[in-house]
Amino acid sequence: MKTTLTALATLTAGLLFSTHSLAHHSFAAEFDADKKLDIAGVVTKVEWTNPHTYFWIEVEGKEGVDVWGFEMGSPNGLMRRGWTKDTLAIGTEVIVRGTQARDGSTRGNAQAVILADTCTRLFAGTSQRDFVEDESAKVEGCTPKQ
Amino acid sequence: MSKYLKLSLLGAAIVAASTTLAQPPAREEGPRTPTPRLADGTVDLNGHGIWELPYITDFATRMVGAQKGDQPPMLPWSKALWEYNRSNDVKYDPEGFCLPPGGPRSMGTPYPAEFVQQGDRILIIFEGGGHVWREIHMDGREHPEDVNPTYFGHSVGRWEGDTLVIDTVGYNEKTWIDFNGHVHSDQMHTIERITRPFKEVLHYEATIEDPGAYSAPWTVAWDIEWTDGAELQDYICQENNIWLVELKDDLGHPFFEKMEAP
Amino acid sequence: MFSRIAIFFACLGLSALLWAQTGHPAKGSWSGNLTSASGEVTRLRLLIDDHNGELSGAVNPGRNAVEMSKVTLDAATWTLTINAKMPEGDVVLTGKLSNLGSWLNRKYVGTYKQGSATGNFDFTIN
Repeated sequence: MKTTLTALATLTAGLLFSTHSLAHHSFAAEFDADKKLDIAGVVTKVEWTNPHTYFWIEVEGKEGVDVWGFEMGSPNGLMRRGWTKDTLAIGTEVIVRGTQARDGSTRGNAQAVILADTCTRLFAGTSQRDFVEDESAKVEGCTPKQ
Repeated sequence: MSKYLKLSLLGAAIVAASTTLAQPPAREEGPRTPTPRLADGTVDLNGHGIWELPYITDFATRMVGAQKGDQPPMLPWSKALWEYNRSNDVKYDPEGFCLPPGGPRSMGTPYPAEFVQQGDRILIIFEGGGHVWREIHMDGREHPEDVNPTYFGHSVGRWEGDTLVIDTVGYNEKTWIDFNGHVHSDQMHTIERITRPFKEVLHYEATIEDPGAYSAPWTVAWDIEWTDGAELQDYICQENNIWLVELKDDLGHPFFEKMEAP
Repeated sequence: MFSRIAIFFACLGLSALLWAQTGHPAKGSWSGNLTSASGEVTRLRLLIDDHNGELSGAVNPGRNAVEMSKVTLDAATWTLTINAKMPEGDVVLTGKLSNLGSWLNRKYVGTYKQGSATGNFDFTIN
């Protein structure tokens, strides 16, 4: 793979959230900034589409498996930050931090997508204003699985 | 030499060997004025006017050298899927969802188009397909090794005399070959050859090479008429697509709604 | 250094975007359940790709992925057969693809054999 996570982290380090990746619809109408999410799961689907990319994860729960869907920025913005269509391969274990949909469903807006293997944070291009300034900083509360 | 350059040379050889490159039929009606040229002698593919793209619903009827009833050489799965598409009156045609008509379908889809030549690239701008465009790189670049799949693919072009040759790879799997339901895979590689034998006529040919869905390359061709002085209009397909709202799948479920997991 | 998982899939020739929609109907990411004759339910994920008309894939893509040893489609009947050497025993899935045109609710339903055990399975495309 040409694009290494180190390169990705370097690319995103120090970059401020760009107003260019504002949502095409109102963030506040769909997501609740107070309903914070911190969920680990396995990627089962990625929609690399406009105006937003989406991905789904399966999360092991006490009573079986839950499916969570997350919204991120659009491909053109993500690609300029080092993403490729293969960055989230099916089967990748991730930790997603963001905010939940207002209606309480298993959907959310991803602020940070962390690869569980290495605890590397990926820029999510989210429209949410509450973002992490230093994308290259060590991810709190994550222990690399490798 | 890159894999795609090798493929494009092979494709060009196949086209040259296997097709009778028909000259456009001499027509009795309509003026026939000489091919317009740019200052450097290159064929001018436009001017002030529009190309009236014909609506080609079934590419099988436009295969070069084919007899009536012939079909392209489909692999078993793509033939079965074509039959399935026809069995439901092509209700799942992605162009019906206002998605762009990638590949040669772009040159055989309703509503006109224009060429914009800019030296290092050529743009084809379409009124139809939902107000879309294609970009053909003319700066000698090769296809990237790892192409991000897109509706129109990655196109590189060059002039061979007065023929514009466009080589395209990197198609996604969100389009059909044609309205009739012929499908393709993301391994599709197209080689288009465009000439303007007269100001009033564009001759379009496309060789489709797709080992993921067809057992051999196949070539389609048609002519496109010029309307001098006309201009493109507005066609925003996604404005009010009621079909999408009402479309149901084979289970009677709304097409764009994910069913609850069992 | 990229993750092991990504390298694993690069070796299999698979990518994140196996979202065929209008390509090969078997291609993509699937989730569903195996239900044994005794009623035991096992959740599985499948990842299927096609190249030059040949199918390949993995069961449970990710850390515990098992490469499918054989994947064949009888296009006349849309019957898909998958063989995989799972840790619990070699499994053979035989079932039909249906709702082919759907991008969200395509189905793969049938029966499986794993050693002497048998049961049903029900997958929906992701």
